[in-house]
Amino acid sequence: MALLEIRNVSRRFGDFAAVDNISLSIEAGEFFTLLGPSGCGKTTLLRMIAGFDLPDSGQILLDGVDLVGSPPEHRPVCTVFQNYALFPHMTVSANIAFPLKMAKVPADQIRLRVEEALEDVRLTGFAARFPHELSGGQRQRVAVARALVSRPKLLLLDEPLSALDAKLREQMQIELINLQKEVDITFVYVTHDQGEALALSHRIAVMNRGNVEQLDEPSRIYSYPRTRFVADFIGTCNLLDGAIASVDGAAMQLDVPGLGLVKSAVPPNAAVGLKGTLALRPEKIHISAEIGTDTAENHFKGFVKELLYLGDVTVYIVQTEGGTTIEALLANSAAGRAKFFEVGDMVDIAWQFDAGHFLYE
Amino acid sequence: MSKAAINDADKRGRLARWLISGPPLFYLLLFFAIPSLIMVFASVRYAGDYGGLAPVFDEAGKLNLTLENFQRFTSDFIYTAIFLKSLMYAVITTCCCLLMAYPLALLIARSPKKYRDLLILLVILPFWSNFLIRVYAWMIILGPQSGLTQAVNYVLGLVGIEPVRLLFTAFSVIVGLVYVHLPFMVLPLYANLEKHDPALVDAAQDLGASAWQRFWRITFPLSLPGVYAGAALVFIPALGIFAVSDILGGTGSDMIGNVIKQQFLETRDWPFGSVLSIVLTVAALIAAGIAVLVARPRRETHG
Repeated sequence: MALLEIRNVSRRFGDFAAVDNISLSIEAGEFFTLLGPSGCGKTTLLRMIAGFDLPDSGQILLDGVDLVGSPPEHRPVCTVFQNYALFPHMTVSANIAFPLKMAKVPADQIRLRVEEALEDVRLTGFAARFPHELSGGQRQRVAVARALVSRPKLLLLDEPLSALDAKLREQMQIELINLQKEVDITFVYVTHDQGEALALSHRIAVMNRGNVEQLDEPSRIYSYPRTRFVADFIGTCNLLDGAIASVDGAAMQLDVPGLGLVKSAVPPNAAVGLKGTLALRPEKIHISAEIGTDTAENHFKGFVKELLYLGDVTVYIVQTEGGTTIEALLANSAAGRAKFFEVGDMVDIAWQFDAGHFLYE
Repeated sequence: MSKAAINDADKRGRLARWLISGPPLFYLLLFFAIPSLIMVFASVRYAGDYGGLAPVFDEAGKLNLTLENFQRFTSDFIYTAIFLKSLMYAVITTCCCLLMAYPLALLIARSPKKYRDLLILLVILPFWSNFLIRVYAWMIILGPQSGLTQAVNYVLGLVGIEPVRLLFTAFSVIVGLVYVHLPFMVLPLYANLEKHDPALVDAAQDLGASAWQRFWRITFPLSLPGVYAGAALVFIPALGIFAVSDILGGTGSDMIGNVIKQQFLETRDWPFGSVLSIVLTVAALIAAGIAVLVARPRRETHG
């Protein structure tokens, strides 16, 4: 049996369905992420798990016990809040001791467990500091330690890294992964940052407008998005709308207006005339000055309309002869050059027939 | 920027600071510091024959100063007693104001944002009518013919207690004092509570704190600066006020303010009035000092 079972949960605010009949289950020991844009219902779902909000219908079962009806203070679930919500009038150790005190743990045990928790998050020696005397990353660790010290069955994290700068965020991601393994507590993580979700999670539920669009492992979500929304939201993706023109064994021809015929892998149940979208990641597209001798089945000519130089890679936005723009990514790895093309350069873009992923409309 | 330019900018900044803080400083000097010094000086002089002050130099040209007025305060216990009673009234008033204002301020701070300004406006609404008129209104409310008095006496009669008088008692004075000072407690408390991050209370609840624990361990300690500010704003004026006890008090409920007023306007003993004023000022300063000391953030190590 799953640790947490969400069954047909809905939550409306007036006419707006923040969470629309969601069912999912989270296994013990999992690092599970709810990913989606703001307003997709991920925070509402998290708040219902924590007990700060109640579903209009449906059940939330933890270890088979319905949580609806038990207030947040009685749920074996703890939250790391977005801005940490550390108690400013208490020291680090008093903050971490707080949940133990509420649970009436004896004082000598509290001391031991606070020390242990500080060790877990590598903050030994900071016990007597106040939150305002800590850096952002240290505060984040105190918040995690405070939420973990009472050994909840479930740890909820509400965009806990969004207040940190990019470099620190990467470091904290690694720490969170290690910590989760170490304490062996189920993490439910909420974020709008797809990179973070891909890096951290065992499984991701991509949410949109109160629904779960796709629930899968990170690599499958990235490579095989099930809907146009998922393809677009996770990473960048070229979305080519078209209809199936012909099917021939493992390959098919897709008629994309503004581009032409595109050879692609055959999806299940393919039939001529069916419409859909080909999702094509920029890094799967080769870009070169002339048609090379590679084996790519699809070649299109165009010119560089815009480019974004990112240091390690350059993103080229190529306008094809038919008027469609396609984004291609090229690593700046060749020795002795900074980048390969300039705006206005004529280029050839190419991809193999199985580079993309076809989504039915 | 060159060193000289930095110095110039520094000078300009200092000049601007003086220009801004100058007028209020001057005002305080003129209307607080100097009168206080005059009062201290008056306290060591003799009273004039027909009120006012006797000349500083007598006919023989000798300095005509004395500490008699202070001796009178320390030797006659009645003044200390009145002073202690005023202190007690002020303490009771401060406590009652705190107990009544806290829930109100919390309620306003936690109500939807669009109503908060309106609710605060209602709190200060009484300021729009004259203070004395509002205190006189309490004479009617607490008077022997009032519905309140009759209701109280009816209930007392049921359990066999003699009827009581509400007006012109210590009770009516404290009712008046609490009524007059309540907004001064609500405003600083609200200003503090309104700034609290609601996530803190959520976090406490998430970590297992009951409603009472959330208040007592999170909301209340964080609101202490507001409590101290409100207490000082109520206690200090309540200690020196005379109008409320004049109007609502009986013969036995005079406060130190009443005695000072009598010394200046009725007995016409300015030096002794000055002595009492000094005692009052010192007491107020001590109270303010205590508030500042207690309000200093402390390090809470284990909750």
